[in-house]
Order: sequence, then C-alpha cells, then structure tokens
Amino acid sequence: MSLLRGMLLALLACLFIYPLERLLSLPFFVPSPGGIDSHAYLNSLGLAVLVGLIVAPLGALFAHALEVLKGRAVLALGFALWVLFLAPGYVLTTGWLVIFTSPVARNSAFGHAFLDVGGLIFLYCLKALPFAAFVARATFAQASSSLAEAAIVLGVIPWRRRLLALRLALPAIAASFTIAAIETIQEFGIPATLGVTTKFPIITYAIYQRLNTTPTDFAGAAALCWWLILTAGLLAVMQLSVQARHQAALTHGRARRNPPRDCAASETMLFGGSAALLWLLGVAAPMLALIDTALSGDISATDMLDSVPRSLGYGMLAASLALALGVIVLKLKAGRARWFPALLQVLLSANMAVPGLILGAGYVIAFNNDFLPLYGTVLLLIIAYTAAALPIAIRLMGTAIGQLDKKLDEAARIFALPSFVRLIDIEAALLAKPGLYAWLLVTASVMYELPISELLYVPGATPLGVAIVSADMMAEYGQAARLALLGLLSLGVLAAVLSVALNFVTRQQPETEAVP
Amino acid sequence: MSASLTITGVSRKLGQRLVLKDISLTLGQGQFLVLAGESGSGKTTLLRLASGLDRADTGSIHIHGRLVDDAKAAFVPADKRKLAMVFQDFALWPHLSCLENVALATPPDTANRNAAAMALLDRLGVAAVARRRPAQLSGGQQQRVGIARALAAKPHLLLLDEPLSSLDMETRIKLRDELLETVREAGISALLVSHDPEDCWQLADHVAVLEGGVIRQHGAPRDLWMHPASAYIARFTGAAGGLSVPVVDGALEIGGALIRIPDKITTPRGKLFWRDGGVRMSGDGTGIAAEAISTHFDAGKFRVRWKVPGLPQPLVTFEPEPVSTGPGHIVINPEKFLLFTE
Repeated sequence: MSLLRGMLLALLACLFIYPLERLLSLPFFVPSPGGIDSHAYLNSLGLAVLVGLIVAPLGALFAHALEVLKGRAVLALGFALWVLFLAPGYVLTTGWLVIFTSPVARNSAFGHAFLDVGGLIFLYCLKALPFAAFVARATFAQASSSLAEAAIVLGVIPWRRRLLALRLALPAIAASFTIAAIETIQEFGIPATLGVTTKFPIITYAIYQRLNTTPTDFAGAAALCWWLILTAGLLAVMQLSVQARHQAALTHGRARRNPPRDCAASETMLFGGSAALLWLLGVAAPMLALIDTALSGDISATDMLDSVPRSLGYGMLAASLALALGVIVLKLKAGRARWFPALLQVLLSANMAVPGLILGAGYVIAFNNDFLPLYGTVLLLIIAYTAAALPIAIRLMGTAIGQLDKKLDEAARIFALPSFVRLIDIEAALLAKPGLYAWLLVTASVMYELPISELLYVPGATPLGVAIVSADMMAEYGQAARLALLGLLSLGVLAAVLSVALNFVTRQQPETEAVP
Repeated sequence: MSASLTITGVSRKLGQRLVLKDISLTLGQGQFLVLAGESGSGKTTLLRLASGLDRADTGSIHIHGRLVDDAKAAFVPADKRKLAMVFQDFALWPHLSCLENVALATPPDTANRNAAAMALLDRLGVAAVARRRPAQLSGGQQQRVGIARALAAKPHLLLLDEPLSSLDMETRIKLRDELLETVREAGISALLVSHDPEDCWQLADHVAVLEGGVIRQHGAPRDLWMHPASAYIARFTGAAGGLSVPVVDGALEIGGALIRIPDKITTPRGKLFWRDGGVRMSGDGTGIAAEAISTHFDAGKFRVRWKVPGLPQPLVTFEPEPVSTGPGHIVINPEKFLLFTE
C-alpha cells in the first residue's frame, strides 16, 4: 500500500506540482519583457468584489429558501440555479451577444450598458450566483432549526431577532462572497468573449494573451498568475476566519432540522419572481437567441462540426480517467496512514484554488522541452483535462462513497466474499448511479472546457470551446450557436442512453414465489 | 385560578399522517408535567403546538386562561405567549457568549440585564464560563446555560424538549435535580417531553403518556405505576416481562396450571408483565415445574432465566444467590401480575 501511495503522490506531483512550480518560479528568474501592468488585475479585483457584494446576500437568501422552504417556486429556483451552474460562461455570453446583434437591442440603453462593463457584471453575477447559493446552503444545512425558534419562543424582540438571524447567516454570506469573488476573478469564458468585445482588460484574458500572442511573455503571465492565486488565497483565508468565528454548527448535542415548510404568499412571490427572472435572463433569453440564430443561417455551411464529437470523446476519456484515478485516491485515502489524507487534502485544495488557465499555462512550459516533448499532442491535452477534473471527480465520488455504510464492505469481508464479487456486486452496484452522474458532470465540464483547450489544443483538431469562441470572435454567431447547441444535444443523448442502460442493468428483479 | 396550560381536542396532521388525535390535557399552576411516549408518538409535535411554533388543525389551546390557538382565527405567536423553552440540542446562539445568550433573553425592561443574567448563570453554577462561547463548554454546561436562558425570559410556562437526553448519565442525574429545584424556586409550571422513566419518577407531579397520537393515560406517577393502561406504560413504569401467554376462560395458562389474575381480558392471548416479586424461585419444591437455563449477576442480584412448558419465551426471576441450572420450581403471585390485550 505504501508503494501505491508513493506512486500516487508521484503522479499527482507530476500532474500538479511540477508544472505549477515551473510556471510560478519564472518571475523570480526571468524578467518580463512587457513589464507588469496592474490595470487588468485591478479591473478584475474590482469586478470580483462588486460581484461578491451583489451576489453574496442573494446567494445566502436563496440558499436559506432552498434549505427551509418547499413548493413550486423554490423548486423552480433550485432548478434554475443548477442550469446556470452547468451552463458554460461563454455559451451564456454568446446567447446574449446574439440578442445584441439586433440594432434595436444594441442601441437601447440596456444594449449600451450590456456591451460595456455592465454586461460583464451582469454575466459574472449570473454565473457566480449558483456557486454562492450552493456554498451558503451547505453552511445553513449545519445550523439547527432550534436557534431561530429559541429566539421566537424566548420573546426576543423582532429587530433583535432579525439581527440575530443576520449574525447567524454571516458565515453563509461570507462563504457566498468568497466563492463568488473567486469564481469571478478566475472566470475565463466571459472575458474571452464579452471582455474582448468591450475591450475591458481582465486578468485571465491578459494571462492568456501573454501566453498566446507573439512574442510570448511567460514570465509576465506567471507574475499575473501569482496575483490571481494570492488574491484567491487571501479571500479564502478571510472566509475561513469568518467561518471559524461565526460557525453555527453545534459542537454538542445534535442539530435539529425541521422539515421544509410551505412558502407564505410573500415568499412564493419573492422566490417565484426570482426563479422566473433567472430562467428568463439566464436560460430562456440566451437559449432562444441561440436556437433562433442557429436555425436561421445556412446550416450545411457550419464549419468545425467535428469539434463536437471530438470534445465529447475528450470529455468521456478524461472523465473516465479522472474518476478512476479519483476512486483509487479515495481508496488509498481510507487507509490507516494519517499523513496521506492530510497531504492529499493540501494538494487537492491547492489545485482547486488554481484555475484551469494557470494549470494549462504550467503545462505549456513544463511539457515543452527535450525531456518531455508532449506539447502539441492530444496526450498532453487529455492529461491536462484529467488533472483539472481530478479535484471535482474526487469530491463527487467522495460524496457518493462517503454515503456507503462501511459495514456493508465489512460484512462482505466477514462472509469471505472474493474481492471481485465485493467490487462488482456491492460497491459498483451501489455506486453505479452516483458514479454515472459524476461521470456525466465531468464529461460535460471537460467538453465545454475553454482555457486549457485554448492553450493546449492540437492545431487542426479544434476542441468545441475553442471553436465556439473563435466563431464569436469572427461574429459568426450562427455557427457558434449551432456548435453550442449540437454539443448540448449530444450530451443530452449520451445522458439519456446511459441512464436507460443503467436502469436496465440495475433494475430490481421481480420477486418470485418460493418453491415449497 | 386558571390552569397554566389547557389543551382541548387538539389534532394535528403532518403530511398524510395524523400525528395528534383529539388531545385534551391540563397543566395546573406550578405543576411539573412530564409528557412521555415512544419516538414518533407525537410528543414534540404537541410541545411545538403549545409553544406556538406550529398551529393546531382542530381544537384549542389556552395558556393561563388566555386563548392562544383555536385552529381558526385566534393565534398568538410564540413570542407573545410569555413562555420559554429548553431545547434538546441546547440551541444556544453560537456567536454570542453564554452571558450574552442569557442577557438577550432577559426582558428589555429589566433594570440591569447583564447583572440579572449573571445572577442566573451563578445560580446554575456556570458563572465561571459566562464569557465563553457555547462551543467551548461541555454538554452539561451548555444545557445549564440553556436553562438559565429560559428562566431569564421570566416565563409563566416553561417547555422542555428532552433537555437531558443528549447528556451523559452523571450529568443527567445532577442536572435533573438542579432543574427541579430551580423550577420549584421560580414557581413556574413546566411541561417536559421525555422518554426516560427517571424523569417521570424524579420530576413529575403528573405524567401524560402519548401512544400513537392519543393520550393513553394521564395521572400521578403512582397512579401510572399502580394501574398502567397499556403494555408500554407497564414497561415504562418498570414492570418486568412482556411475555405472550395463552388465556383460557379469563385465566392464564402457565406450565400447565391455570392462574386467575385480577386483570381481565377477553382475547385468546395476552401480554403479561409483573412487578417485583410477581415471579420467584420456589425453595421448597412447590409451585410450577420449570428449568433454570442460565444465571447471571445483575446489579447486586442474580438474574435467572427459566424455561416453562407452554411458554414461548423464558421467564426471568431475580434471586439473592446464584441458582444452578437444571430442573426447579417457580412460584407465581398473581396479585403482582399485569395483563394486557395482545
């Protein structure tokens, strides 16, 4: 087992530490020819803080509603947040850019605002909102319902009660703020589309430009990466300190949870209205615009259609590798050695803080030499996709594995079932459904991945994200829309086929009468 | 003088399940009522209705003669009912110190809220940790702060939702005594939800037992012990047994002998319990023939399991000395038997 752990750590070091070390050490040894322009960073920081301030209270409010209320309005709200969470930022932006190709829309006050910083703030908020809500929801889920009830029963006066509720919600709001700000400052898809159109400098796109524009400036890009990482780290530390200071989880006794209650009329209006707005602005408007423009042009003239199956294949391959590696990591983590889980946690948390753009930049430098000449190969692209997807794969599978009762495996061992039978008949059977959902989620995220694709794709084998953004750059929105929709359609078909197949394989056998 | 709490004909449905059915209950001034029952019997739901955290579907609730819920128009919210509650999970506000927790629950018109809060913490023996946050305290200390906070609200009625169940045995024993003393000193009425028989014996003036959403029995602890209305109450009040036995013409058939007992049932089988001394070993070879199948030391006595012909499960007696396994005899005292319809 120790040898396996050592090999795994070596692999993770190759995937994460080596490329990042190569990239991030550059500014200390190589001067940047272009110097460091702080303009893009300050813009991004300002946007991140602003988006965090807008989204944090909303995210906490929605999270609280999702946790304590039930009904159609809350269901619609939760579903809208999930759709927004899964929608790639640049696809959302493409939809809105299509809307503003209409002169009436473009020349309206909303059009002027959207095609400037206002549009960036709007789209960043839409993309950051689900992250903020989901993170805050986890915080609310730990708090006992009795905390609020105690204030009511003990007759604490209303304004003090509201203050108390606000204080109790502070960790959730802080978590929402941090995640929204980090997501905003690390977002690449929106700057790569609307950011370019509005000519508003954003740090992630500035890093990409330094890596992808001749003459390249790796040292300058690396210096900007440092700014990005340090800012995300600082925000995370702030959030952890607020979380530790105001944690609402009880350390003794068990937290009591009331079942969700029906919405009051005002709550139905508030959350129903919010859901309607999110569906309209985040889903219906851009999607209808995409569908309309996709169907209106010459469909047969669509270029780069091969990018759809190619990226679907990349996604399936990388998701399979990431989940397989993730399961091995989780199995080894469950062993007795204490140092291993701790080290793994640090490694994977650090990787979560590093966006795909920085990882991709690290790969460009680390694997572009005589010893490891992988740059420009599909192999490196798949490795990078797998490495970037590994933390989320581990978290998704970790949640599923964590829900399995350990005693199931222990019982199987006691009854001397062979390891193969234990693996197939017990673990695989129970993990099949969550495993499939995790695989589909990772496949989708890799299929629409942008920064790594932009930096590492093989010329002549364009991935989907690059193809869509290239079409956007040329204002060929019909082509971008067709590619985006075909991608979604192929993912939908894949999900449906696999779900049916899984249901068929794991369906319960009808009970048969015992033969006397 | 009106009762502290009067519940009349209250029902409550949660989802499709009728959790409380036509409940009527009265808690007198200054009395301590323990509401007992198995998990899922509706105890906590009834407590939430009394507190105003939930509304009744039918019936009415009065607190000190004031109508607070009539399941229609009248509903006094929890914060206007002048009551306080101690929670099973303590529910101390985690970001406030213990002193702040108690001070916040002190009515705003109190002259020096911090001093009043400190006095209460002192009374409950947790003044030394007043400046600490709840997470830094043990479970027992947290619940003491929870009780101090409840008393700080100067309630007319104190509701306690299994306040001792998440504490260890030693702390539970200590805190139970302190709780009773504190409530008596304050002169307030208390309604405590519990499934621990010790709470019934040590705290209750009256006990109401909920079974399947209805009040199965309501009376003084002694009444429940003397005349338990159900098998659950017999077990709850410490009766041994729980055997399924055949009933022939109103008499029990044990080991071939027909035994007439005071409790009458009409079904062909009954659930048999007995109080201490209901079944014991015969020293002189008289009584019902049985076989001792095991002897184990059990808290100062010896627990002997007897196999009796005709009974599906063994009978248990407690003897002062160990008994050799093998044939023997047992004596039955029908006066100490309790029989319930199965």
